[in-house]
Amino acid sequence: MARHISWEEARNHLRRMREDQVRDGQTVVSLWEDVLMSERNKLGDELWTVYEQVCIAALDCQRIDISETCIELLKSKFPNSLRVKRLLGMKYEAEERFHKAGDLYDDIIKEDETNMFARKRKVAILKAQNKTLEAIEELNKYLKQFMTDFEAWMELCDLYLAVQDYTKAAFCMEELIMSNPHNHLYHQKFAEIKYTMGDPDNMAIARTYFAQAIKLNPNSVRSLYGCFLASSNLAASSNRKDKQSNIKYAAWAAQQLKEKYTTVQPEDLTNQTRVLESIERVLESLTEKTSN
Amino acid sequence: MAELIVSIQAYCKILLHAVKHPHCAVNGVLLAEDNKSKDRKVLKFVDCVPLFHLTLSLSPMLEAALLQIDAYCKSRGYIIAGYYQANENLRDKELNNVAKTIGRRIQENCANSYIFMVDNERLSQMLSSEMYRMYSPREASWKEEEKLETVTEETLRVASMLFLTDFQGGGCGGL
Repeated sequence: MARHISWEEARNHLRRMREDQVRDGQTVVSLWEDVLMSERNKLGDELWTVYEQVCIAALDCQRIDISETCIELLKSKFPNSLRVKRLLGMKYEAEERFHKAGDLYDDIIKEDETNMFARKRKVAILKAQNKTLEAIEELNKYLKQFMTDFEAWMELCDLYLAVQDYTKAAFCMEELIMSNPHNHLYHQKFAEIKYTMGDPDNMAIARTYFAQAIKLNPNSVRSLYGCFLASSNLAASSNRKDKQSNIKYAAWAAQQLKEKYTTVQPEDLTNQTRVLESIERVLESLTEKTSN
Repeated sequence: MAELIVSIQAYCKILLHAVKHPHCAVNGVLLAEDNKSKDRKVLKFVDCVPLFHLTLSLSPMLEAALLQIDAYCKSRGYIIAGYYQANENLRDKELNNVAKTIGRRIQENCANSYIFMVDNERLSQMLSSEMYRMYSPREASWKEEEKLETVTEETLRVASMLFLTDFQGGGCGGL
C-alpha cells in the first residue's frame, strides 16, 4: 500500500499526525521507511522534528534499531539537548531497563527542575511496571506542582478508574470541566463516572451532566444513551412525581436516538441489529410499572 | 464438563480488536448458540461483539451495549455467554475486578458462561497456542480452565495469517 503514496502526501500525513497527536507507530514507521527515508534531505529543518516523531513511533513497535539511529543523528545535531536525552530515556523504557531510564530522568530533573516531561515519564515507568498505586502517588505529587497540566489530570482520572476509585476519578474530571467548560467529552465522562457510582443522588447528577453534554453537542449519541439510561434508572426508583418527569426525559432521549438512527444508518441495518426495539422495550417497562 | 468451540469468526475478531488498539485495554462479549432445549454438552461461540477500548470500568455504555446485543441475540437465537478482555499492559494477564464484575453480569444471563483473558504475550506465537486463558465461575470466585481446547488448527492457522498481514500491510491501510 505504502508504495502508492507520494513523498508529499507522506510528509503531510506525518504533519497531521503530529498536530492531532495520533498514536499509531506502525503507520509512522512504514511511511518513514517506505517513502520518506530515501529523500530525507528534502525535509529541510522539519527533518529533526520528523526524527523525533519516528523515534517515538519506532519505540512503540519495538524497532529499537530505527530509534537508535534517530537518537544518534539528533544527538550529533543537538549535543546538549534535554529533549534528545529524554528520547534516550524512552528507549531504555522500551527495552524495559526501567532503573536506567529512571536515573536518566532524575538527571534531567536535576538539570532543569521545571522539566515536566521527565517527571511524567517517571509516572509512565511505574505504570509500565503495573504499579498503579505508586503511579497515582507520583502523578499526584506532579500535579501539586503543575496543576494546569490537564492531560495529566485526565491520566490521573484513568488511573483512579483502573483501581475503581470513582470518587477521586470524578474529582479529576471536575478539574477538567473547570479548565474547559465547553468540552462536552468532559461532561460526558464525568456523567459516566457518576452513573457508575450508581446511587440515586449520583444518578441524578449523571443525568444532569449527560444533558449538559447533549446541549454542548447535540450529536453525541453516547450522551443521549447516557441520558436515556440515567433517566430510566431514576424513573424506576424514584417517587411518583419525579417518576413522571424522568419518564418524559427518557422518552425525549429515546426520540432523539431514533431520529439519529433513521437519518444516519441505512434502514435494513437498523432493523437487523434491533437497536430501536431494545430502546422501546426499556421505555415500555417503565410505563408498565407506572400503570400498575 | 461441557465442550467449548470458538468459531473462526469469533476468534479472529477478538484478535483483530486487540491488535487494532495495541496500547489500550479492549473488551467485548461472545455470543453462543442458545441451545436451551437441546443437551448442554457443547457450547458453541459463533460470534463476538467487540465493545470498548480505553476505559473499561464505566458502566453506562456497557449497559447500553448489552441492551442492544441482547435484542440482537434474541432475534438470532443467540445468547451472551462469554466475555473477553485484553489488559492495557503487555505483561498483565490478570483477571482483574472489571473482568470479574462484568463476568458476573454475564453469568446472571447465562449460567454456563466463561471469561476469556487475552494473554498479550501469546499473540506473537499464534500458531502454537490459543491467545487466551479461560475462566469459569465457581461459587464466589473464578477458576481457570486448563487444557481446554476451543479452536481448531484451521482457526489458529487463519488467525496467524491475519496477524501477519495486519502487521505488514496494515500500516498505511488508513490512507
